[in-house]
Amino acid sequence: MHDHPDGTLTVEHVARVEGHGNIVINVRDGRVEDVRLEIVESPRFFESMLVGQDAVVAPELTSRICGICSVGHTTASIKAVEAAFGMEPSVQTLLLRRVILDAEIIQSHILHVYFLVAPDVFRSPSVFPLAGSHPDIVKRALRLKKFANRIMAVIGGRHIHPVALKVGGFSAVPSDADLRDLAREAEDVKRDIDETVELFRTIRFPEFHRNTEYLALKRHNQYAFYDGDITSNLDGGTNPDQYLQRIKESVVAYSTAKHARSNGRVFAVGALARYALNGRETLSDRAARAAAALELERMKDNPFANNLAQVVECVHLCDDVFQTIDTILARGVRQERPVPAPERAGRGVGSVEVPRGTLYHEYEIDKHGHILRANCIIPTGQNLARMEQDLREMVPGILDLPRDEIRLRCEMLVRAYDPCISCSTHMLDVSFIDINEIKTTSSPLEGEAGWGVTPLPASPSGGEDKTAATSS
Amino acid sequence: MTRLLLGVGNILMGDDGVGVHVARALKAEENPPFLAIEDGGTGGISLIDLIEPFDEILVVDAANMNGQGGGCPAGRIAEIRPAMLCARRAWSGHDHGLVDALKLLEIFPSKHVVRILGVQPASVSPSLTLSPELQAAFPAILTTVREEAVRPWNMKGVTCHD
Repeated sequence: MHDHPDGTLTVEHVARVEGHGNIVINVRDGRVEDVRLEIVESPRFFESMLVGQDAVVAPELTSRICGICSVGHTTASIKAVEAAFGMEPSVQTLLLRRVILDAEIIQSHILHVYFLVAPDVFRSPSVFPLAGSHPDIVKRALRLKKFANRIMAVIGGRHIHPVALKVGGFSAVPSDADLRDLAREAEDVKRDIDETVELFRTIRFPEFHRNTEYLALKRHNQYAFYDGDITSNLDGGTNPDQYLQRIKESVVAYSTAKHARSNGRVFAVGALARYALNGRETLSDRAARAAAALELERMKDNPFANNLAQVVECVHLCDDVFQTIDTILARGVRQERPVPAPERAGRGVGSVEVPRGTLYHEYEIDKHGHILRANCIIPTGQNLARMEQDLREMVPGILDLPRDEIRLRCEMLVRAYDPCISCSTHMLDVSFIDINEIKTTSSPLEGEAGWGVTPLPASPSGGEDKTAATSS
Repeated sequence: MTRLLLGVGNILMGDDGVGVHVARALKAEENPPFLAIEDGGTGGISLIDLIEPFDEILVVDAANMNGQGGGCPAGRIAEIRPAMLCARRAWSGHDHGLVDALKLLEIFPSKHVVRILGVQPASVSPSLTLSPELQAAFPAILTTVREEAVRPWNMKGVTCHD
């Protein structure tokens, strides 16, 4: 907390918000003048690191952008290279990619709803006190996450930054026995998933409904993840190859992360957008029942319901994992090698639904197979403008609440989008700038109990605010 | 006794990836049968699944030790007490890191002994290679890590409960 020279007050370091950015709420005479989502961390320029690289190694490099969305980046990257080279992977390859992508989305959603959202609703400062007060809940989360990690290890060779996914196929195909081992876990996993639905059925999120555009990949009669047309609830579909015709990124003065518009409008991507566009009828039967139990249809214009949509997707994805593994086994596992990549020039777009929304990779490749130009549009980058707009629409309606409650509500709203800041940049502190009334408290949740954590100061050499062993 | 040498960090961010570079270099060597070596990347909470099967874990990561009573030269390697670590307070799941994985191991009692070796980075910014400073120090870093990785600890390592 510190005073500005002009007499305004800024509160920093709000609980469970580690800052490379701010939510600034500017209030004058009890009215909201402005709400801004400021991202202040330096952009990371991953795209420029791809230029000059052999296109077939791009998937491996981009898998390192993020520890949670490795498969998502790898898949988008592989699809972009295959599109540029005009390659067609085998049916088995597509099925295996589907399972590993399902698994990554499950582990990411489980991490989000149990480790980030559940502490909010139990009013716990973090998952760690929750592990003490509700150990069964946290143990269930770890079991589900472990199962998803096992799938990634079996199919991808390792569960952190999997390596077996290649342009043209898999460098190693899992054995029939390994896949049968995974299939045997179905009953236990489905029980944990059902209990997850039950847990979230008891939770009431704030009623904040707003009109927005949603974008997601969509296929006829299928809840799409791996491919589909870019679809909007407001106007027609777009071929992913033409993504730049629809999605335009622009620089915002107060943020180092770009904001995106769809045909000029702010929009949202992610689990709730996917649910709203694909529809309940494309879910597995169990997932459709979960959606009904969680009242998702009624909540689909409420950004807080993204948490519920993630739970529903977990149900659907678990069903899809087991069904797809059965399909692979029924076809008979083939120990096939990747399709060789031709050495030729081309341009390709890879689009895929990842935990937080639609991810695009686009590469232009020269005749030697080297990347000339790369563009990546990350889901969180697409959501930033919508998050800010949501804050602007929500804050005036909750201004009568105590400061700490407003702060929590704002954090919960942004957290509902599950922002992937290591891909775009990092976030966030929450600041109130109250022009007239200077009366605020620091968060009671500040400083987590129990572990005596001591921050090491930032490097004077600048760049990254690196503290000891903070690799995430 | 089984032991895991776990190198963590982001190899796209220059010296942040020093732990991974160390793990990869040592994995290519002949190692005693009790020692496994893994590249943990930026695995976050998922590191638990790597750590869990082992009795002893030696983590290698970039660690900024500047400001603890003066400058710390790039490439210096030091043991870090887990209690000294800064847990990033999480905004998204991406903010759960090694520290949080260790804290969960603490909450659900385990027999693990965890030691952490920190390497002072010179530059944490987008780059596929280590800084010239860390490249120069790399052989010495490997020697230190190798010695710690193979010598008996007699269970006196710093545990999560420290």
